[in-house]
Amino acid sequence: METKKKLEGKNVLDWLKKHLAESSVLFALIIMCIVWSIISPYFLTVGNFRSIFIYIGATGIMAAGLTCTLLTGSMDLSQMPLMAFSGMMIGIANNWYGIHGIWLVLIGIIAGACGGLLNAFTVTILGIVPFIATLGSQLVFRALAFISTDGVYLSVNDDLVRAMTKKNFLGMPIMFWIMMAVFILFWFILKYTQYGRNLYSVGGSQQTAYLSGINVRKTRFIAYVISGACCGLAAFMFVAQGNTALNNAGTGSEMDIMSGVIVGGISLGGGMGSVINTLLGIALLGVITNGMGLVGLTPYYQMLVKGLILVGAVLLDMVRTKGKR
Amino acid sequence: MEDSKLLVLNNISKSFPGVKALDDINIELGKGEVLALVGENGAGKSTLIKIISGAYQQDEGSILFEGKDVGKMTPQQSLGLGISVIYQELSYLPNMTIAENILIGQQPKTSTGLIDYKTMNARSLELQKIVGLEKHAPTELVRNISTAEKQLLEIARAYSRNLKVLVLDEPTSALNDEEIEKLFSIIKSLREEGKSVIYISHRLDEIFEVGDRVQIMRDGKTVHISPIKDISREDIVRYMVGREIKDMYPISDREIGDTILELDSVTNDKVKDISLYVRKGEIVGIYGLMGAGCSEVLETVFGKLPVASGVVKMEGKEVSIKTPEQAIKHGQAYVPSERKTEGVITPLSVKWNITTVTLHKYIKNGLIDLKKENSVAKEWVDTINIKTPTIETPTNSLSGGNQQKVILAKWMDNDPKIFLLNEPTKGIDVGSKVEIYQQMEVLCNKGCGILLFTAELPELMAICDRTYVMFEGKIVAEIQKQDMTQELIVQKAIGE
Repeated sequence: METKKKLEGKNVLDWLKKHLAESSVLFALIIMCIVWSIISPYFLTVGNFRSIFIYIGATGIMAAGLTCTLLTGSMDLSQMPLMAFSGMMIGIANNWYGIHGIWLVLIGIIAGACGGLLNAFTVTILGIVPFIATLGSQLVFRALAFISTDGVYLSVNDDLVRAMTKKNFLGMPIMFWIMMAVFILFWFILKYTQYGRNLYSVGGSQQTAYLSGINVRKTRFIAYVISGACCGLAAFMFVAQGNTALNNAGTGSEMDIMSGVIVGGISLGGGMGSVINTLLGIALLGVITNGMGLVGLTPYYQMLVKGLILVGAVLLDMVRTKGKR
Repeated sequence: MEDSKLLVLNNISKSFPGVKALDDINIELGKGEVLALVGENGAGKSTLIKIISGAYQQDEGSILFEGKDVGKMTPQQSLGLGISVIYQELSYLPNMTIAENILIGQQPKTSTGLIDYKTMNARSLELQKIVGLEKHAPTELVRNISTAEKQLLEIARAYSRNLKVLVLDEPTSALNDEEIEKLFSIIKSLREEGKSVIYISHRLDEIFEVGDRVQIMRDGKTVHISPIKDISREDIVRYMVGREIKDMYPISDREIGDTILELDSVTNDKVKDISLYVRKGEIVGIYGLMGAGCSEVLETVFGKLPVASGVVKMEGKEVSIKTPEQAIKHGQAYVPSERKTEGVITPLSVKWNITTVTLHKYIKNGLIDLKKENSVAKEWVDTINIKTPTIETPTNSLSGGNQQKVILAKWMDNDPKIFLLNEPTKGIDVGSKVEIYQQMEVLCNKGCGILLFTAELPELMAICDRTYVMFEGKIVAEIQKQDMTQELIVQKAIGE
């Protein structure tokens, strides 16, 4: 009897050790919630949680996509502008051509996937360093977002778009559930499919993966297309947040997703982490951003905090992965 | 008598979470003495030299240098005392000159505080002469010199810092016989100058050549210390592994079948006109000095390097192999010499590493059958005795020998027809080596062919049925087992 107890105690400790990243982020998330609810009485209201989830809806879907590229040891800095561009395509389809419903979702995803193809091509076919390639395409996508309507915002008038934030399921907006569905899908892909496993192998060691018969180039190529398609789906969610397609969507928060994902425990070096890490990291970042707004921190200070979080996240990643390579 | 002891370590212990890496270790290093330190991987040699270099600090015990207690050392203190450690992984700045590398951190300055290049280069050349590196100008870039020369460069750097104790960790693993001879003559002259050397190597021949005394470690403890002239090779091995090994090379005669792999005049940038064959159940060696193209032959067969002209046949049929993926489909397996960067995926678990190649076999309805994967991994861990806490353990926390067994398991799970082994026993302990030889025999008995490159002649001669010898990218000889002698193989390898 006693030995069994001891064993269980050891198992809990082992579990915590193995899931150090997850448990520490969860802990930080709880602490953050307590802090904000003490400072602002509005924090712990249903209305506020809805707005947090609506914010996370768009960034979370992109983060899921970014998880794939990061797992292969690459990165994607172009997500926010690609989302803005895809959003403009949705806006143009609806506002100029009167297209509605699920077609808008598809247009967003296709626009995003095309952007992803561009990244996939420059990184995996031309062999340009991901950091530079996606830094460049970041400017390209942002420019295209402005050029597409000559810098004009477009209002979007569509029932499905409105439903994302107005319709609820179990008290939470539909958008939140779509994001959760994306995460469950990605969790499944990473755990149960050959492609998911290939992402880890390639990120762990490209050379070993190649010599073990894994098509490294194809694996990385697809990861970028997935990341792009996620931006397209996220664009739909972002448009739904204000029923408008904004050329400058996400300006100034280009690095938010990266920060969230790395804080959550996806290693910058590749091959380590799961979508659970991503979800927790994005939630933590969403709560921090929301709270800063609630307590009335000016955007300048918010930027300062976000910058520190990004640097801190990379530092945290270094500490976590020390000696694991 | 006491004052002749330069470096004394008393009762050193060091623990890491979960392991006692060093348990009550004593070392006495005399002036002008070469102490050979041997032991299997994981015996604690690396930890010990890291304590001497100041990279780690001991939990218990004291360090005396020239009779003075120096306590727990930092790397700066250790260097300041004249202790230099040259690790297996050399440290150098490839894009800087030889002089800048040798005198790094101690460049002579002019009166205005700028680097005095003239003095620096002159001083560098003096140091280069001591280690026999004077054929290169001090202004040459380090990336253009050979591995062996980079090692000499590190020794020159050690000299520049008032060298008293030189620690060499597996210094010969990347050197050819000629370069090894040169290194030994430097060690001998160091000894004559009254400088002391701690020499760590897996190659017992070398220990007998340069060592004065040998200290054998096992599981963090010293198991035996003896003057080198009073101990036999067999005794050292016995002390190292802690059990009798009747034969280091447990490979018996096998039945040899049909030709499985055949190369006809295969040529590319690295190798010229390679023709060879390997039959079922046969172990064929390739031997050559560094740069002779041995590992490149294996890489070409496996599709890592392109075939510019010539024919590759598997089981008598001509095949076109352009990528490792295709090579694997044709039934090939490749164990690379760079274990950590090409063999295992270090952050991933033992289980995932074992199924890297064969995961597609464990997919049902498009999904990975996790239960099946678990049982496959467990089976291999048991079958070939991989020492790991669990199958979920990341491979980076395994010893080199066990990582190598993980790599063998990942290929054996694919039932290959031919195994290409690129220095499969490099830098791994004797116990694991023997286990790897045993697996090679198992493979041969199953009808697999093995093409093996090894830089260790005793190993080559003991386990290969036939061997090809290469020189400057070409095969210059084919020697049958009964004709193999060390002299003959080396003679061919140096192009005579």
